[in-house]
Amino acid sequence: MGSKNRIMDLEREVKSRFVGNEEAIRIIVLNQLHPRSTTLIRASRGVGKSTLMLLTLKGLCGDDLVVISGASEVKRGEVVGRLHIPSLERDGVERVLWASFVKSRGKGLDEMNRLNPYTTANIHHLMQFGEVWAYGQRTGVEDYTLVANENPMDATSFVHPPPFYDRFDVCVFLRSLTLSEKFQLQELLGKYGSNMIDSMPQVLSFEELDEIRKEVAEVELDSDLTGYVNLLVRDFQACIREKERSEVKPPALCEGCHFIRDICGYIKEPLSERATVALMNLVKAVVWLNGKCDLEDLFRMALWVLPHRVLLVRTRNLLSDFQELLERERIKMEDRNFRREWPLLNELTKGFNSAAHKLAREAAVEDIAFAEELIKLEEKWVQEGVLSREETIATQMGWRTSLTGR
Amino acid sequence: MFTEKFKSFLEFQAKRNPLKVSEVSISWEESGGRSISSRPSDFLDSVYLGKELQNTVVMERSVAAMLQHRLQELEKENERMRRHIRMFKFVLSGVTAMTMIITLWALLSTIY
Repeated sequence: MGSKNRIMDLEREVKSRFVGNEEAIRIIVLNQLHPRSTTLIRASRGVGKSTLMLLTLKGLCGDDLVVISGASEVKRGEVVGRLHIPSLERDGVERVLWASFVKSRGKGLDEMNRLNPYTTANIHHLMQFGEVWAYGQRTGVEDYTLVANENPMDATSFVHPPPFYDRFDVCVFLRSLTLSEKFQLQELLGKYGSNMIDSMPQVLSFEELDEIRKEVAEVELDSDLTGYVNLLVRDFQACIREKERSEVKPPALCEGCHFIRDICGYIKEPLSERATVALMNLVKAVVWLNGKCDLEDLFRMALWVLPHRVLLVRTRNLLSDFQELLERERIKMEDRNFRREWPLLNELTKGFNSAAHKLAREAAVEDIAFAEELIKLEEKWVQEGVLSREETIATQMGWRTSLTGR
Repeated sequence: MFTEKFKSFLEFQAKRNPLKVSEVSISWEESGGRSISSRPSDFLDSVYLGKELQNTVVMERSVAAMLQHRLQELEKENERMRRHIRMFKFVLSGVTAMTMIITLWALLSTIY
């Protein structure tokens, strides 16, 4: 109970110093509850990206934090390590002094969009393998919390590769303040002045956070919740024409496709499996903190896991577009229940049943994720001689996927 | 083929929405939690106004009858047009043959 209170205290302390954007703060806090947590904050200038980053890091790591800023000249030695010159001159030995950024528990990246590609490549490697290399020497990186911020509208940006962004568990978007919130901010500034960040206490030690992370990792999720997480991610990946392997991408790829009006038709580059991991971590954190996590919570959290990982065919307003897609997904899940797709599949896993197969085929024509599982079962039945190849849905619909093996 | 976790997900769903399975048919009872009822969806709006359809379309009997009637009319129209095309093809081949004969005759009469 005490550790849960600590996490709630952290949220309260941040909220007492940061006006508005409650949902973003909530997600940032929940995202800290698994090892090597990475958070990206996106907003236009002057909305409080850096403040929120520093408040979070300070609350978790106290003074054990290092911020690399894209707004200043960043040298390799400051991010990874530099040579110890006396050792080289005196003994001819290449000894590396690892940068405090590598050693610190709290890592901040300010104005990440301005970091040069060499710096981000080093950070990318750190996030991927939990280690850094310099002068042919390697050192492992202990558990950490990394919070980055960027302004995507900034004209002086480097374009970082999508796999780099994929390493961030969540990406929260901040908004500007409403009229009444501006009054709140002025009150806060009057209270703290320029000491806003300094006034933030370290709410829990990193050792305590380690313990919490272990507890959260041990949370057992029920199969229902796990199923919905996997289903949501699959719906943002699946494509009957296998867009992930295709050189032609949507919308050109979707011409004449049966599923053109489905969610898949709006997605150019699909989600990676890291989205599942990130969502599972958040769901576990919510279950640990609140004792339960329902479908509403899952959809609310998905909004912060998707936008930096998916490339849409058309984008007008990124968050609204994703909210619309998630609403479609919600309807789709309801439709699946209405059609009894999973009970039907459950029946079919017990053995071939022509009545269930007929209903399942009807459902599969409208649902790729379900069709994929049915195709797998049909392939098995074809091999067992229960079903002829001509009777399979893949043959009849003309779907040539890797699942059919043809 | 499927993992135990996936199977338990399917079983969980099956328990929540049980099926009545017999040798020849499968049925189930509506739980009442479904927000989409048998209320007709705006199918005609999608046909005439290009509005987006949901995954499931529920149609009134009168709308279905009207569509059936329109389809039959279109089929008749199709058949009529096909007859016309056949007739025009026949006339066109006749005219082409006549033109060729006249041209040939004119050519031969010029030579001899």
